[in-house]
Amino acid sequence: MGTRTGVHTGRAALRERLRHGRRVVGTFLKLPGTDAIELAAQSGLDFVVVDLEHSGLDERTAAGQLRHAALLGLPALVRLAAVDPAQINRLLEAGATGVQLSTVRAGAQVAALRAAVRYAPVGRRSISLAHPSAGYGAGGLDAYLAAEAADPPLLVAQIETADTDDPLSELLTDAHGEPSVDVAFAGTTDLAVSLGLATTDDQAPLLRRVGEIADAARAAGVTLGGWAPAATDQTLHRYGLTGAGYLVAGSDLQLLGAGLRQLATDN
Amino acid sequence: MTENAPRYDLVLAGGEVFDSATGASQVADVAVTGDRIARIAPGLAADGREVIDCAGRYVLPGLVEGHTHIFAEVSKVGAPPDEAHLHRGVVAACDAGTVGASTFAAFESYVAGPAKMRLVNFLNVSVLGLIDFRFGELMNPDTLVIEDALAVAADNPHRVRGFKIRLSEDVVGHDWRPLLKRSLELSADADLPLMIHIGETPEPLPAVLEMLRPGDVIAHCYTGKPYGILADGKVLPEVYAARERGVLFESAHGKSNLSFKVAEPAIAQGFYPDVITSDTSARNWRGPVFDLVTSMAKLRALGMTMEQIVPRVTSAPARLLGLDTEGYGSLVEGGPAHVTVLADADEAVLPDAAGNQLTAPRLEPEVVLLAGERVPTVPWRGLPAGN
Repeated sequence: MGTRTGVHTGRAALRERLRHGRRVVGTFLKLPGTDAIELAAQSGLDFVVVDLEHSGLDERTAAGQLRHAALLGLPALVRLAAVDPAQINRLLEAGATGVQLSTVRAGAQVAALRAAVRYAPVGRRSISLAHPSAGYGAGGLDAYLAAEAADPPLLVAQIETADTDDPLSELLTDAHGEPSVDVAFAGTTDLAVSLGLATTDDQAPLLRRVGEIADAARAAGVTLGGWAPAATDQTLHRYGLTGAGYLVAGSDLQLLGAGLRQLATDN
Repeated sequence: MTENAPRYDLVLAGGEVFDSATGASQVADVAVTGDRIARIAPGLAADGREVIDCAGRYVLPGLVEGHTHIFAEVSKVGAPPDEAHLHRGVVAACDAGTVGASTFAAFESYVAGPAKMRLVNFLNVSVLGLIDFRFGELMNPDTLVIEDALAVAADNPHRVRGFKIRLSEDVVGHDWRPLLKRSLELSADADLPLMIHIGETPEPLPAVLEMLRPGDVIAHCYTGKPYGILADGKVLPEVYAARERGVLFESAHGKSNLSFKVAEPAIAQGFYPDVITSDTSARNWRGPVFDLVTSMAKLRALGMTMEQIVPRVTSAPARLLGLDTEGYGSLVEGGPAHVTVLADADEAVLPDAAGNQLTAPRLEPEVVLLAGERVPTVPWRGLPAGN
């Protein structure tokens, strides 16, 4: 495996922890620059998700952040609103550990995502060796393909609507019943709005829906994931995410905002 | 049995015999037959084939060293275990992180397996172990391979009694938290303690302590390097809180990790190590550490009593290393005859690891028994040449 780069070891490490049932905790990054990447690595976060769905980040900035994270050995996924194979390819080549796709409603979306992140024969991703994830081709094509086959990109499907076009089982497993993603992710904020809960304190429908996602994840053999504003037991309980193995807590902006507001209040 | 037939092979007569659990002592004889302690009582000398007068001596269970580096000739810090320990009164010792998963087989084949003294280890979380202190074993964080460490621990329960991570900045850099976290996870999986080397950690000690669990061990509790246990001369409240939770502290002198200027006020405030260790290595066994008995003498000079010291070099390390169940660390009738007889020796100038020195009486091993067999002792290595 002469071309197993830091990207592959990062994927392997994250998968190993998910497999052992250990919760991994990360946060969304929405600000440009590499400081937050370094702070996340230093503080012991397990991963980050560079957010290209809800942020002002452009692809070039995100690619730079992914490269930096890969160098630091910090697993960094990228969140996308839609499957654009060319863009996904560029982000993976820059060093993305995986892709988190928002608003997954149909099996076809997951199939398109899988095709975009995997090389043939599994997928349809176009190959080049002229990028850091392939070690710039130093180890040759076969070794890089072997490394990618052994540790493919992590896939996270955000489920954040009151209902989906296809049953949850069809979003999480392929035609052979094998898991088609690594994580079934309850997008709790969108979910709350989709359930019409934004203005009510009644959490019961949200907890019910997250419970459905958790059940489907368990049946499919994939990890339950989700977003919560914090990683405390109390918060996770409130969001029905106490069983989540993959937790995205807050974001760089939220954490910075909380700190700044505290600072202003302290004075 | 005729009246003159000796009942015991050997009697250590008239010494101050310590109860290693309580530290209390009384004058008594210790009789040995074969590899066992036959009796502990007054008036046994007449029944011994051989009698050693131990009047005025301390008769202890064979000493147990909880922190050393003995992977000689593979690691640059490896000292030879017999010369550095057994011949200086230590009958069981724990190598603290010199060995990693990738070098364990050699340690087993060439050091621990053939040794007569009982050797165990705390496996370095880096597969490389501590081969060469110039190059931190975790500078490449990918060398922390959980499966490899777990596999070695699972396959060698007789040897691996914990894990070790060195948390100095030159080993882990600033991103120490993920490495400590993974080390804690792996030791939890193996249900073994984690020993954490402090001294030149990237952040103050409380940041480390709050991550530790009961049974984990802070090594070098009296280090004079930043960040240690003191602030403004006082032991930190977080240190007491960690101890309260069951986190252990060991003294691990080492070449550069014990300062009299930390140990003295800490001892005055009643903060003693849970385990007294020397951190002997190839870099310090000819000074400033010399050996475990010299570390004991230093702490005695700084205010600890023999009653406080003895359990911390016998029963406490034996318990930490899981060697108590094999009879190490205690002196009881029917138990294995591992015995160390110490004598007060002349005053000597004793250096710490931070450029300070004190003048105090040393302790010297006079008799060492390993499973009833007399082991030769060697003179203190700090004596002037030709003495």
